[in-house]
Amino acid sequence: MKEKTLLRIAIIGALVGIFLLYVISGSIKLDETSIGRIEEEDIGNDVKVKGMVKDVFNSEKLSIVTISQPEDLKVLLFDNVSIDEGDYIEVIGEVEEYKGEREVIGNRVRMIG
Amino acid sequence: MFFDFMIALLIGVLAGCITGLIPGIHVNLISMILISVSGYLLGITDVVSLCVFIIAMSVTHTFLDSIPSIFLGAPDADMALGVLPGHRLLLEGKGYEAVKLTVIGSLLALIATLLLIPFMIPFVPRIYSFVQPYIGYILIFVVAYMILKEKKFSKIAWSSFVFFISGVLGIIVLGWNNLNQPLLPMLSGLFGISALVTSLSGDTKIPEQKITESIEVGLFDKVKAISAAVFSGSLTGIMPGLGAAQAAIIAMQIVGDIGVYAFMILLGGINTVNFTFSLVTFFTLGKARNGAVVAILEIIKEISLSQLLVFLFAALVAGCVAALLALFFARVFSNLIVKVNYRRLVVGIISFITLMVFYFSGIVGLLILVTSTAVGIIPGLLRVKRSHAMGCLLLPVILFFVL
Repeated sequence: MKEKTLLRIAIIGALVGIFLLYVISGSIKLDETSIGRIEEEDIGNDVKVKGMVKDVFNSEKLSIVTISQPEDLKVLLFDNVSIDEGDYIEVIGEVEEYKGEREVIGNRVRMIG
Repeated sequence: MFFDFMIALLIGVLAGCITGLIPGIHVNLISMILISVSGYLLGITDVVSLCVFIIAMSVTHTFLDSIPSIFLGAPDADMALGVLPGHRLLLEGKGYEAVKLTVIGSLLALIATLLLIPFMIPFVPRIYSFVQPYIGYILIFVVAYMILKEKKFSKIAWSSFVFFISGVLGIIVLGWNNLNQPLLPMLSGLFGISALVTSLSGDTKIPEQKITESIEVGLFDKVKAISAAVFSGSLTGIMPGLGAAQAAIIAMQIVGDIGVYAFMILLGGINTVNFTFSLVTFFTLGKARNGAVVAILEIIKEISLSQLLVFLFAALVAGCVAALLALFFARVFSNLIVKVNYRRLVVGIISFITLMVFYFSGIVGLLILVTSTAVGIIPGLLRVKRSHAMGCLLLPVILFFVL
């Protein structure tokens, strides 16, 4: 195979792949959800929520952060976090139900204010 | 998200260049380091982008790992069988061409696999449940076929000897507790240093490396090589305990004698297909078949179809970029390698590999390296195929499945 042919295949393949990535990335982008809109059918799905930290509880292996929108939502994080009351954070995680209450198992937390 | 993916992809490609070009630095090592800092990284980016990084790094590695195998005689498991034909081409002044052949194999096999995946996904669980109980026996058949192909009784006997002695070596090495990077000394000794030591006995000089289009491979041989790479790479991407090295042995028996050039295309394709298809296995069966997918499993417990598509498209982009980079680095290596005295180069490479082995695996690693080198020299002296030394990986896997 001529090197020019190989280069053409590589360049076209890369451009096609980038285009397809651009198209598909739109469908897996997580839009922000408000706490009040988290329904029973969201259990097991990933959500993104923002809110002000109302309460933080840190134990050895777990942190429980309550964020407020003004509705409250508990976020469980399996790492100690340096978040204080009054911080404004964004959380991405999976919705779970525990003792009738909805909460989020956090995968990612980001400070936004 | 798209921007995050592209950044992760580019960094992954760079990381793959490092792991692919430097013997001893493997994708699994970087993946495990990534897992240990994933908590911090997930504050900066998302889980899918982290996975895209791992995939881009792994795919790039499969394109670039032929370079140290061909130019330095230092292969990883995927390219172990490529050292001797690659080295022969190097000594004919065709080192660049040898790398180009593996790049052709990797790129075309990657594209073929991506096109076939939509049709193969529904069959993966069925193939797995059908083949899995018999995989040990399939491998026994493949090995027996490989040995009996030698035809002459003395060669069959010596081939069996090489297979079993390397198999015993593999069982001991892979079963050794607390040994870092066991494959590095074993495969470098069996396939790398043994070939280099043998070449020192002659008055070898690396000739001027030609960057030409002198190698032509017939369309039929190319199709055979790519098809065999897709078949064996995807089969071993589904089955546990089997990797690109075993896939190469299976593929060699399927295609028969396709010549050195098509064989390099085959080898190049296998490890790329093997990794790409392991993503499909993760999607359909939820099982990891290599260290990189184990790392992905740590980050993301299961993947959706959209996420699988992201990973496959990322593999395509990374593969295409890696193809260009592999040709670039091959040119660099081709220009550098002729400027040094061959004997000094070989001694330097052996010293480098020895240092890497000592760094990763300590004194035990050095002992394995010396032993593996001794075993690796035997096939050349007995005039049997060096591929029988793949017993080091095949025999442990056969015993795992059969016993």
